[in-house]
Amino acid sequence: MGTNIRLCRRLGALAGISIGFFLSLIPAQPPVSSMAMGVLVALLVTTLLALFLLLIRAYPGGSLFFLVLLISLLTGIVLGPLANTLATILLAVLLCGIIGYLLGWLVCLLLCRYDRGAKGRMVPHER
Amino acid sequence: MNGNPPRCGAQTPDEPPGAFDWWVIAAILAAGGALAYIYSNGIPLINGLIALAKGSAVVLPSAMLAASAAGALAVLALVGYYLLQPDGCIVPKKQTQPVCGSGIVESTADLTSTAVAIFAPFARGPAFAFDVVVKTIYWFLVTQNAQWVICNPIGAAMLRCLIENKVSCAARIGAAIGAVAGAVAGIVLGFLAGAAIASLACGPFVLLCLLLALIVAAIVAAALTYAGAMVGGWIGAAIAEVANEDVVGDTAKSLTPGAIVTVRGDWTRDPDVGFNELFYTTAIGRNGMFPTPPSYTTADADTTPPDDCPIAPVIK
Repeated sequence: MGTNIRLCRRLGALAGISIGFFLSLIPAQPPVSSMAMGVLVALLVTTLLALFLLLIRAYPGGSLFFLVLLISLLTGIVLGPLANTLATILLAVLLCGIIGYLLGWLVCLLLCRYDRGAKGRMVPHER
Repeated sequence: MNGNPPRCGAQTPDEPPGAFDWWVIAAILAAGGALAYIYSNGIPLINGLIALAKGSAVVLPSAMLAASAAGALAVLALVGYYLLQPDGCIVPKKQTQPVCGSGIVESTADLTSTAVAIFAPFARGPAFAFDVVVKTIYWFLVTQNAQWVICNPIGAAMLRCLIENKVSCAARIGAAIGAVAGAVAGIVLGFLAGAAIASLACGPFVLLCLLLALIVAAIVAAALTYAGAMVGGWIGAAIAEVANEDVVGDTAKSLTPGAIVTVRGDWTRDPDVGFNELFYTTAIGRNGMFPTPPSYTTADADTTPPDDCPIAPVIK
């Protein structure tokens, strides 16, 4: 995978913010339910961002969606129960956003290879 | 040829030091604060519009209002991110220096995209790029403080020259205005859509229904905000297309590999890969065509006619 770490951090932050926000608004659930809801929310939001990124840049689609899936699963499972038990939106968004940012970073640190040469190539578009 | 030719590719073993994502952390803080406030206090004007549309005011605290606001804010943040790029539109460019150089054009690329122009006009980047095999005396433009040196297939160092998209700034400003207008409509309609779903009899799935209602509210608001950004971007781009001349862009588009050029522009380093580039090229002088097809050597560039750059290039 030749995707950069900055993208992973931002995907993680977005997933974290979304999970923190939506799951703090619904009553407390068993952990499995909140994990499932967390994964669903993260998957939806990060997929929309990935589609936008594919529109504006020549990212490798397969790698990008694999990262989206991985980050959504990780953040959903870790942050879903956490967000669902936090009392306030502010705390949930802050905590989950920051933890999501760090989880995204971790995913790319472990899995991503940064291909500087590929980024240096010009990608012509059709007129 | 004087001195040793630049080493191609990575000049340092590590990735270029990227700026810390301070704005992501700031966005997390702002998002949390804004959504918490909206949940407890509503939004002036929007509450009134919802009362008008629904026949009753928003009951606070309102998860539905906060959810639709979240959708709108996400798109506003995206549009704001592009508007505030440090490329001279709103935020000045960082650490650039006007320079002059010359050589032979190795390759060109049209970076415009019809899909982006239609679906994401606020995300339009540079319009055009070309790589120049520079003369020996301009090697410093390619190597000084660079973390990557772009070379052609036969190892000649090249300077990347970017051409600004003349409608990009106006499109981004138009998109920002359109996004705000879309956000107002989006939050109201998102709230109404979410409330309609939440009022359905969902039986044992009442919490899933609630989550679905919140997500729908956010998506509707985001969609309308995005639509506003698109329309605003189209209008901004259309105005700029008519109002702005683009002498540099027109000259750049006429370049083909082999063109002998003198280029002037704002010299800086690409933040992602670390190669030096002109961001953006401010003037292109054409001095003829090299008789053979690419790829070109630095020796080829050195044989081209003298340019009109300052005799003693200033190194800062």
